[in-house]
Amino acid sequence: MITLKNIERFYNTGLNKSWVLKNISFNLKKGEFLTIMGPSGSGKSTLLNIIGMLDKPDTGEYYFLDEPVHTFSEKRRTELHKHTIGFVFQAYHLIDELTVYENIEMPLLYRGVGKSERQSMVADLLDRFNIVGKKGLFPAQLSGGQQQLVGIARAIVGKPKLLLADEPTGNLHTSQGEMIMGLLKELHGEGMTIIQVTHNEKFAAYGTRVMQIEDGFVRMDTTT
Amino acid sequence: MTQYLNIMFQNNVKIAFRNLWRNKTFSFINLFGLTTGTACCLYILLYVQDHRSYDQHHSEAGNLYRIISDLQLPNDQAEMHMATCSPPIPMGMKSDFPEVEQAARACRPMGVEQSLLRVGEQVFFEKPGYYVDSNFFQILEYQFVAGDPAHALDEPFSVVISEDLSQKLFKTNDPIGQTIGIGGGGDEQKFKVTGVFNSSLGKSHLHSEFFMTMNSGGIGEFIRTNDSWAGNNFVYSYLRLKQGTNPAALEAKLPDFLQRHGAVQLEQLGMKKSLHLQPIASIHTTPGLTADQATNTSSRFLNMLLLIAGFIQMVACINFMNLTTARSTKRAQEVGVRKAVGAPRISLIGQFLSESLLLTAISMLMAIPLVGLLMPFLNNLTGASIEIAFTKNLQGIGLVGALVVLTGLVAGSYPAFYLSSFRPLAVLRGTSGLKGNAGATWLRKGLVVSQFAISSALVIGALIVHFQLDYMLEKDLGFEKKQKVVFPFRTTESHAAVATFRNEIMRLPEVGSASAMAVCPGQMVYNDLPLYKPGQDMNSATAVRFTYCDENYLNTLKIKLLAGRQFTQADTSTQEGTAKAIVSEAVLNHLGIPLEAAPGMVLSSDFEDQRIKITVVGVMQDYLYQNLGSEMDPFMVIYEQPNRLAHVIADVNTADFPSFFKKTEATWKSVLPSLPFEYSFLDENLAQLYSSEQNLSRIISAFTFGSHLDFLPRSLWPRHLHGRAAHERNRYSKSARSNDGRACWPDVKGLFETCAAGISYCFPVGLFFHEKMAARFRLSH
Ligand SMILES: Nc1ncnc2c1ncn2[C@@H]1O[C@H](COP(=O)(O)OP(=O)(O)OP(=O)(O)O)[C@@H](O)[C@H]1O
Ligand SMILES: [Mg+2]
Repeated sequence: MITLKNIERFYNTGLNKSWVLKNISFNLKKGEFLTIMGPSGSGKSTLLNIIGMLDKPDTGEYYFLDEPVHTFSEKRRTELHKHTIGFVFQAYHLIDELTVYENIEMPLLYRGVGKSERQSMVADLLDRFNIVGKKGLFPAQLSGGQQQLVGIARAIVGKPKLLLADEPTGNLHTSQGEMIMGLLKELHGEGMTIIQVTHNEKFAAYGTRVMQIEDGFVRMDTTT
Repeated sequence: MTQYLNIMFQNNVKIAFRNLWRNKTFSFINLFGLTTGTACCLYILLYVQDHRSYDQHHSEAGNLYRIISDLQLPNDQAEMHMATCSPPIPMGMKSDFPEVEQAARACRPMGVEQSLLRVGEQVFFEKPGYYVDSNFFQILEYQFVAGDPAHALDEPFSVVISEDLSQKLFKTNDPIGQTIGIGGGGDEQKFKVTGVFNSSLGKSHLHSEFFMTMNSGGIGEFIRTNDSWAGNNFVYSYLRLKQGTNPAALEAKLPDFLQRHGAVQLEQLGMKKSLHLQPIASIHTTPGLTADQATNTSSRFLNMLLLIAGFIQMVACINFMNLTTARSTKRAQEVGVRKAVGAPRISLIGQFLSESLLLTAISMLMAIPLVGLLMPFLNNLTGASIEIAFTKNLQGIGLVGALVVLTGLVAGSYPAFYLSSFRPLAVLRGTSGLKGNAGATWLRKGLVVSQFAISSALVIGALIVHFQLDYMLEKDLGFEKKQKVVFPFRTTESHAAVATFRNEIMRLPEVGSASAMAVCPGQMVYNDLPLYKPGQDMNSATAVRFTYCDENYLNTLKIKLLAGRQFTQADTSTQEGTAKAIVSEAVLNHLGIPLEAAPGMVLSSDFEDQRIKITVVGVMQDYLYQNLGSEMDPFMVIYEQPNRLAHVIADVNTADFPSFFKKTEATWKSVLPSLPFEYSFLDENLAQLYSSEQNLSRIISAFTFGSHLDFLPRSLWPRHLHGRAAHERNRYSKSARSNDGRACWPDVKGLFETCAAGISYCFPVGLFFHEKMAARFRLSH
């Protein structure tokens, strides 16, 4: 599904370049659940953003479903990511002015999905995540775990081919974190391809494959 | 696609409402600023629209013209631009040119300030009406509620009156057939009411409460039978041209036309004269013509007001943008998230624009009743009489709609086009894309600076107008205007009592001196006479304007006598037809007479086979007898017995005016029991001449003040806003890094803004109240 070849990402700091990602190459098959780990500042988020097409590598090749994304214009990348990738953020990033229902519905609006279809898609998710009773509430009225639930619901409502989650449990208590992880596992069980970043060893074990990154290099890549 | 847009729109409006509701402080400040700005703007637009609406209502407005004349008299450098022409000209044009469909004249009795209307035993004063040709209402349209506009003025001594006058005189709207005695300036005549009109069609430059048919003797008869094509330029003349006539082509034929009829007369007077056609719809916005019927409002002034309105709305928009930047961190984050879930930029632009449009629409909805509420006060301020009638007025609705859209677009342009360009990555990383963004900083600085510049421009404009006006009102006029009380004698019969009244009040201890005169300083001087000195002839004559007065004139008005003597009562004894005059210095300068040689000199004027002789008894210093803004023109006063003069001015040295007026009223009642007692202050009458300038000054001050009204809430809450923005920054960035330099910036900016706004708004407000205070002080005397 994803092929990365010699991906590099660097910033010009003063006179010399400082590499964030160096010589990253790997394949990811459909249905895998990849966990990326590594110390702070090692480049995990950068890698995830490149895969999510929000960022662009400086060198190297990136194929997504055999399409050469690295050759795409920004507009085309945006169009591709909009239809194929869902994001879950550490800080949830829900829109404060929208209700739970509306937050989940938002990606469908931008995709031009019809009204009744939208309603049933959102209703399914609310049902499934057990938050039907909260659909009229605003994010500020929810706990962190509930907010992240909504964040995940928003990420998957458009039935993306790939789900990216950057420290989805980073701001949560352990029990809430476990609930979120359980949910990701469930999604994976249904066939969703997932990449998550986490610092938590226990949560890393939910995935099928763990990749260790240090100073921009892949140190270790183990599939269980 | 349309469905998509529809959904987006509904969504946007919903979000916009929630955004407003959640950020109540932000919304309130913005709404306050936009509402006051919009209210100012709206009133200005209505004011300008009102002034542009004059004479647009006539069904053939595009074919209606007034004949105006440019005159050049011998030895008079300045060309005169008159709103009038000679009596036979319009009728001559109608018979000479087939493209002239209708021609009619209108004329007010000259030198009469108030006409006396008598119904039964009751007497009313009213501004003089016009004598008009009987087809007048076929050219200028009025809404007749009784009578036939085409024939109402056919009969001699018929009069058409307004509904208001009808109510005032007869307490009814159907006075057809009733009789009014109309006097003032001449003998009282009986007129029959044959029509009633109201002003519902629209405003006209020619405003009058009553119109008398020309065929009523007196001045009307003079006009009807007059045959001077060069002189007597005092009638207003209106033409209706055939549809499709090119006015320029007709105007090109006028020099020939005038030569054909008036060559000899023009030659005799040594006058150069040209005729022009003035579109009737442009009369009200073309000031500056001599003897125009009303003080007109120049298009330049109206355009300037529109500019001020634009400035005010611009300031409101800039405030809006400034306030938006205070929340931009949060909005940028929202942009990032929306883009990450697939929002195209255009939808974000739409969302931000919907928000600002919603806000401007709400402020418009609040501004309309606000303007309605403040209308009496605003009208009082501007001297206008505007009504809000959006329901009747499609143009008004369009105007308001356009204002909403324009303001919303301008105010929303910053968030819409700037914030929507943020890339999600920078925003989501927590280091909001705003930080270190030189563009944003410059934009904000630019906004503040341009706001300051606009404010300064408004304030400086207000100051300049104010000081200019002050200068004009305070400058040395050559006579004293303070402590002078004017008593008008409005009917011819009352003139017989002038001498007695004058002598009686001169006995009062408060009165230093009292003088009778035909025309008070500041009033229009109609009379002039070309004069030449002994040994020369009419070719070297200078036009000298003049008026009549008694022997106390110079003493009462404190005009300096430079040579010779004052008038005495004996000056009336007419030795072989020589009138006695005191001439101004300018007369000597124009005629080249040395000061010592002037007293006793006889100046002459020839007209046809007559010779008029004027004996100079004294020379007085120049003074501004008519127009405070003009140059010191040659002028003289001729002695006349008090009982043929229409005004008495008293020089009063007291502060206790109420008791003074009690005494003078008693005197008045004893000599003129049938006429109401009336008085005015000379300096106030003179200030009246500047009412349009004073209006301008007040309008600018008021709107400058209005445009800064939102300064108050903004200066009270900026801390709150910035604090909130900082809080949001911290909430979304992982580590609560605080950047001291950055945190300082809003405070410095706030301080700067506060000072700038404070300075710029306290000045005009101060001046405004200064003016008000001065007026109040004046009244308490
Ligand atoms: N715009 C930039 N300019 C310069 N350096 C940058 C920029 N953005 C990121 N970096 C650097 O790239 C490195 C990798 O950052 P990244 O966010 O990918 O780390 P991370 O592994 O996700 O760390 P964490 O576990 O703290 O989230 C960091 O050292 C960061 O300083
Ligand atoms: Mg990270």
